Amino acid sequence: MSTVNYKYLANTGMVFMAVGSLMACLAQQPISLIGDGILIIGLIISTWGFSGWRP
Amino acid sequence: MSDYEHTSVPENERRSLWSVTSVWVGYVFLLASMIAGAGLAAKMPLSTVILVTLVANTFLAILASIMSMISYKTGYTFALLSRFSFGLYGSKIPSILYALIQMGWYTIQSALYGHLIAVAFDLDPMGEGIAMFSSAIIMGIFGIVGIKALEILSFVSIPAMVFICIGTVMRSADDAGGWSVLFNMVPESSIGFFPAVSIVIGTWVFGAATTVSDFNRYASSRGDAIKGSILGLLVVNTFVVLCGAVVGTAAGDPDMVNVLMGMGLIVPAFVLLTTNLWTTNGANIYSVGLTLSNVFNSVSRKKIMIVIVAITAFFTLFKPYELGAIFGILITAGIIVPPLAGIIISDYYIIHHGNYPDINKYQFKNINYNAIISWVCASVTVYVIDWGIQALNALVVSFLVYTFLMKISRYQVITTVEEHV
Repeated sequence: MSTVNYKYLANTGMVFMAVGSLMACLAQQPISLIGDGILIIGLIISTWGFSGWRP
Repeated sequence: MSDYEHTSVPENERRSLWSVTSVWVGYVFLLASMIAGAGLAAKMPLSTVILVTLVANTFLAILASIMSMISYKTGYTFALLSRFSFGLYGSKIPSILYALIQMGWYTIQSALYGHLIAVAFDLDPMGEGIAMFSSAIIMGIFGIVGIKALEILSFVSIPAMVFICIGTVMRSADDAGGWSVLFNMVPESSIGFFPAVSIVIGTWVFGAATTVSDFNRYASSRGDAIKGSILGLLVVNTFVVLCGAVVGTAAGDPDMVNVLMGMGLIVPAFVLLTTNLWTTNGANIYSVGLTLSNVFNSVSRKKIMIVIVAITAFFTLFKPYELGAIFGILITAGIIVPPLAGIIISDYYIIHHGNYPDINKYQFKNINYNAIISWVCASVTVYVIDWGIQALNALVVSFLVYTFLMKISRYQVITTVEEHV
């Protein structure tokens, strides 16, 4: 995979983390549970991205 | 890959601003700073807490910037820098003390993380022991692999921590009735401005005076070294302390993980705790490995770190977080480490006029007693004079005493190979 793709993954993961964190903290259930899931997916995606690209 | 524990970081291995800063910021982002912020918010209005935090972190950022400029220019770790002022064997004394203190904190934090995992999953004592032992091993792996692994960990963790903190602060403020209610709350007790500044300085003076050198020696320019220091302390530590202050005021609990658990937000609490402890502890044990490389010159950093991680993992089984005396010893010992920065700053800027020679082309005398005497004087000052900001007092005393002793004795710690023979 090219560096550009890793960069997209890292940035996409961060966006997921931002959305997931705010949903998890601010929304009521069951939306907050969806936020939990998005937060965890964001962590996984950004770990993958930052393993191949770092600013 | 070498982490340049015995030599200067070469120019082609210097890293970008974000790479260097990520590890330092991950190290600084700590729940204990939030608890300090919440403690202040219980004794003074939020508007004053903001002012206190900015003043304290400005001081920390200046101190960290000075140490970072030295480490950027030389490319040396904190332990190697201390060799120029303490001598070849003399530098092993502060190195060992520094390593023992950091290992103590590493063991406590690893055990605490394992304990919380055990509580969350309702593990029996055997399971808790395995969780604590495994925590120390897993966190240690990042330190053993080195700076690249710490960078990845920090790049992933920092945004997660920032977003969760923002979410928790917004939720807490909303639950408390809004920002205007928070800013108009009158605290039940009070604290003076300078004692409050001293508390915030105490959160990171140890790292700003010592550990920052181990990360910012990778900076590719003087500006990056300074920007990294400012970003870590003036921006991030201020953010962390103020988050703690707001959540402490709003929820009445200084521990953000507890607050999140209380709101039923288990996943954000777990993510915050994990990212927070892993980034700090990974960088912590990495710094210990670099420092002990100065003590055991002939042993590789990785071998030293494997032994350190194994020892700390073993000691997690004794649940050190339950032993109040251990906290007392570590906090007391931690006070006598910042004066080392005063000695190094004096040695670099005053004695060596801002230029250390290549460590491999010179020989070091065994012990510079001027440095030891200065350190002892500064450490005694901390205990005898209970006035002002103790860490700053000790740093100034060590700087002045060392400069005076070196000027009147004209002692040379480094000599050329020929002179040494």
